[in-house]
Amino acid sequence: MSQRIVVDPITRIEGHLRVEAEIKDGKIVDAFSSGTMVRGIEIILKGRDPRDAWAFTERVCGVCTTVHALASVRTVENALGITVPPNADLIRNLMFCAQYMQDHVVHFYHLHALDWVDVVSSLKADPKATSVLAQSISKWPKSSPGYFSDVQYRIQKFVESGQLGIFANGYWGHNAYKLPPEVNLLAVAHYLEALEWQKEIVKVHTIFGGKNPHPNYLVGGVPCAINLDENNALNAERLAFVGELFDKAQDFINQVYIPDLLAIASFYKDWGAIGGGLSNYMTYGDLPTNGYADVGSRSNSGADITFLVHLF
Amino acid sequence: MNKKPTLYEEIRAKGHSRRDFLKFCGTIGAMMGLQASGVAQIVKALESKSRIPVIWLHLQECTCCSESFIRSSHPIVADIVLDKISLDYTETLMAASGHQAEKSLHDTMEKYHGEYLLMVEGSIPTENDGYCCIGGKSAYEILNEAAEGAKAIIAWGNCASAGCVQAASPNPTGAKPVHKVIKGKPIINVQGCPPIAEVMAGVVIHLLTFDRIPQLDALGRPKAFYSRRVHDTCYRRPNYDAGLFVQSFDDENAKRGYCLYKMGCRGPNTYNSCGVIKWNNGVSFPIQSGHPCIGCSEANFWDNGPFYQHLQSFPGFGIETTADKIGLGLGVVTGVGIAAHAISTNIRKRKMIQKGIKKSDSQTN
Ligand code: SF4
Ligand code: SF4
Repeated sequence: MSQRIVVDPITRIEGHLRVEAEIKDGKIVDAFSSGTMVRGIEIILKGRDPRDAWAFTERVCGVCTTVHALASVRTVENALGITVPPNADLIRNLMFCAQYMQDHVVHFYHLHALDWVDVVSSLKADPKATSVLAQSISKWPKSSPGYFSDVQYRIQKFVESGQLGIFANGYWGHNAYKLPPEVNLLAVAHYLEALEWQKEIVKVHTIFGGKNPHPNYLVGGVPCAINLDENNALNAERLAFVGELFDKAQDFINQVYIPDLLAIASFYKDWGAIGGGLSNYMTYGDLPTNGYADVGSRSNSGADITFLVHLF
Repeated sequence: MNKKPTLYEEIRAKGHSRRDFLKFCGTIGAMMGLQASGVAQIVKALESKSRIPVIWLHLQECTCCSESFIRSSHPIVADIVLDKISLDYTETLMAASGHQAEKSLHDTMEKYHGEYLLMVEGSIPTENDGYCCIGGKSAYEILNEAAEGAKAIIAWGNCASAGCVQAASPNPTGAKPVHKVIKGKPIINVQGCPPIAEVMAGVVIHLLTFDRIPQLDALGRPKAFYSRRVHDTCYRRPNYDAGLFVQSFDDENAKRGYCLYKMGCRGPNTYNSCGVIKWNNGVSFPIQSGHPCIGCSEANFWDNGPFYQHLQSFPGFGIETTADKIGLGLGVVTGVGIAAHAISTNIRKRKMIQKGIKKSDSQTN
């Protein structure tokens, strides 16, 4: 007996997605996915000034803001044979990295985690045990028993209010959730911390591109001028600010995100063998140091973590 | 047990002090241009009100408004956006998918009929229902159903307020903003692509506090945030008045941070709070980072000529005549008078400043 299951909308993504799965004897034998929204941005772009194209293209997605704009300015530069100055490459690389960091963390905690983390189960956790666990995998300072019991109390109050908001009608208690309550509590605490964290690293975009989401780009370079003797331009204060934002962001990634990712993934190893489609992944490389056209100057590093992260 | 905790109780429970709370109310009040009595009202309302259910629809959009919303800087604002309102349906953040997600939508529509706030991100395609469907229903059907029992509608961003990029020529999907397809409900257009996080939070808090729609301009935007042109609040304005312009993105004037008018700046006919509140907790805003304003809080900004062509090159958009008239909006007769006055003072001031600059140049040279 085969059965068709429709999941529409798929939530915690950007855009609109519908998935239909055919099930036979408890196994998915075929599946179909469709994007259910169209805007026609390609059609709208036709005949426009190519210098404007990045802004239209950027609006493809506001979650992975920036990257479509970057692809667009590179495309126009490639078509017109423009090489950007080395500093512009560096600034674009920094903006790209800020996006790369922010997007991975938000994707993991706020978009994907609720498929692996049972929020309600975290109420059963022993905060002391969560604290011991947290301290065993990371030196992140916010890891005392008191900290985790505060988070638990907050969730408790939230659940008791009867207004479950974004957590309403979740699949809580389903046996596909494999994490022990202590790991669930750890993840919920970091879900909340990551929500605070993500609005800091994007300030790199605000400094170079004036705003986030949707910072500004420019065909031929970057709009922000560098002038160490000027208050109105990228000066030592602004650059130090960027450095500090990256330092803090890295701490969070190394001490919270990566340890959590590994800890949670260890309970779901079997998922690595399900689906996946083709097993070859191609990486074009990025972060050029001699213009995007010079393939050799692009870095390929990060391929492994990209793979892991796309799995989860 | 059934008594819902008030916002103030929740804020306290989250470890914020009463002082934090009052400071927060003050900040929000100042952002909205309120007198002390207004701030007192915010304090009172947040101390006594429970969470308002919210349905947040995603139609033809890119989710930048949701992303901007979660960038609100004040820690209590973050609490507000997550759990001072009850975000019962939002495809971006909700745990449930498919039937369960639809259930949340319908539960709220039934249980809180007439009480919930409807927030809409995205436009509505009118050419063909198939251009945007969720759960097998068209964007229009979903919006229409959800609007029926809504207390008020917030149209987030340029998409829901004016159609944004998908409504740019030739608008292949017939994208329309909320106010063009829904009638008979109060609609607040919170403009921008996306709107500034603090502006979004400010509008929500205004609704929570005063339980009524803030004052709106002729285009349905809250006056508190959209009554001034970017040009009138821009810190580069003295350069404009002095006739000091960037002529190319890599010239010396760009490095000095001169006015971006000749690079296509739309500040002179764009109403937004970028120059005042700035972006991402006041870090910068487009002009401060060297890029001209592209006018993202105005209807049709995508079709208002190439971004890097300056306004004067457009027939009818000479900055000192039409922009000021457009700027003053409806007060046409007095508006022209004021504009004329502004022109002469500007020109006089510019000559004076330029003389001054020449003098100091010759002194230093
Ligand atoms: S034209 Fe633009 S850069 Fe110049 S003063 Fe006006 S808003 Fe500022
Ligand atoms: S400066 Fe202009 S284009 Fe930029 S965000 Fe503000 S209103 Fe939009």
